[in-house]
Amino acid sequence: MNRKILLGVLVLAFIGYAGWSFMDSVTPYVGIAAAQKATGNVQVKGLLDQKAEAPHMEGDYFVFTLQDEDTGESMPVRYHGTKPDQFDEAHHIVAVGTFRDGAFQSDKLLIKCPSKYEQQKGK
Amino acid sequence: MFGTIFLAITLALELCAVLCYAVRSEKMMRWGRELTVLSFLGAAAASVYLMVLIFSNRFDIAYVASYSSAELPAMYKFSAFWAGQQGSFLLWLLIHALAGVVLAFRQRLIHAGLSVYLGLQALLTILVLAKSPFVLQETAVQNGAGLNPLLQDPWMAIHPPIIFAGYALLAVPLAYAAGALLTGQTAREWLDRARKWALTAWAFLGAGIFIGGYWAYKVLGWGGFWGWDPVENSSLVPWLIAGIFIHVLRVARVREAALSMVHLAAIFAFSLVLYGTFLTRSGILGDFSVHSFSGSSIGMAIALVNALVLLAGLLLLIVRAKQLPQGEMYPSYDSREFVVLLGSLILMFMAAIVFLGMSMPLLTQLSGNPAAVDTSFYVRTLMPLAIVMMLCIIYACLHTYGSQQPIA
Repeated sequence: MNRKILLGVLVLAFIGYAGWSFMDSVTPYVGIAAAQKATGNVQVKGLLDQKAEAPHMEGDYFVFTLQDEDTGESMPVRYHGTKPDQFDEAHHIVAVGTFRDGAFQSDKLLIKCPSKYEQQKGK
Repeated sequence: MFGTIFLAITLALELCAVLCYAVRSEKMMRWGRELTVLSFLGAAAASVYLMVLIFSNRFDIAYVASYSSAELPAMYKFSAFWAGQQGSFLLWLLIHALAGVVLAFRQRLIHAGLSVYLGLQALLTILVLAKSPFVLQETAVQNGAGLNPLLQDPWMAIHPPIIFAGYALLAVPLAYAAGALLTGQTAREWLDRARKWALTAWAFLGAGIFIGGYWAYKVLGWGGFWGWDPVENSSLVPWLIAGIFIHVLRVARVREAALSMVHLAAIFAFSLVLYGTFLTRSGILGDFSVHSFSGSSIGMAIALVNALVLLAGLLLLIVRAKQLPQGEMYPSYDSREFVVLLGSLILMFMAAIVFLGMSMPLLTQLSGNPAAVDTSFYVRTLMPLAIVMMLCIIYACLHTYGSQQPIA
């Protein structure tokens, strides 16, 4: 009987831990205006702003300007890393990170390619 | 045009076969077998026809124009067959129908089970028809768009067929389980046969997942073998559940009380195959995955099929629950039965965690505030489970099953 209780407690503790971890890692999907106000990690989808300064490296950071497709707002993005492979052909860019010190500090970019190629692994 | 006709005939044959198998007579059973073979030939004819269309550069067909081009090498024309959603569903149907022929003749799957299996095949055929690869191109083009350069890789020739073989074969354990529930067949008559099919499906799906990981690492540059991308997760979850099926089945061979869990695992394994297909094919995840999916009208159809299979399966299990053997599932805590069941519980937690993570975009979209989980969630929660799992594996090796003789 004691072992059953022990097992139950362990399972409940794990569910609690998983729930906390889940809440902690949720990254909402927001527009540019909301991204600038958010405190935690968020995901922002947009296009490369063609009118702004061309994408370039600044030290360890790849810097470009992301524009909201619908509202036309834009914000600078500082991506910690080098220019992603398919960046130039990108159709949409999704940046994951937080807005801090006047720029969106991102450590993950999802690059969406043009719809000519339905890019999927046949799954 | 011919392709659609082949598919429509296939569907009609499958529905007739379902009815034949549903009648409990030796004569109708023979008819059912004939119809099963004919339905396979129908699906094969449609597949061959699509292949012919691709190789003869028929760019008036939308599917050929989207995935092939005149200058594409022969090997990639071959794999263009499953490069898109429509063709990959046809491939799934073809493998499912082929397994159906083997089941009807060699495996002594009970008539009710065959009826369920052909019913699933009919649902797949409807999905292929709903999103047909034989639709004509609206505007004429001189040459096709060609296969995505990323897909022009030898792995493309083998990865999707292996994954789809795994998906298709997971329907077989479900058919055995449903057949047994419908007829009151005893475990001795079906457990061992279902086990062999489940092992085969599990091996195919596992191999497909590993190959996919290697491919992603080598060519696609998604950053490592495994990126917890929804597309990867959607094939991992059914694989984990199929793992539960295989393990609780082993326990059920010595402890009949575990049979209800075998049934549950069979229902969920195939339902989650459908759910994963729904998630990745409906376009819902378009913003959350490195894959870009074209939004498509087929999402709703897959969701309906998924709900139908899951609800019908669970309902059948609830209705028959009283007839299933009851009792203790393990003799003591230091028995192998207990450790294997504990391991299955861990697999279930793992599947639930990945399921929750990959469903997050869908769930939050319904509430109006779309969100996704960071991949650190998977690592943080699965790591402790994996460690406990390894301890379970060691512990299980040191113990034997209870002294009872195997029942199946």
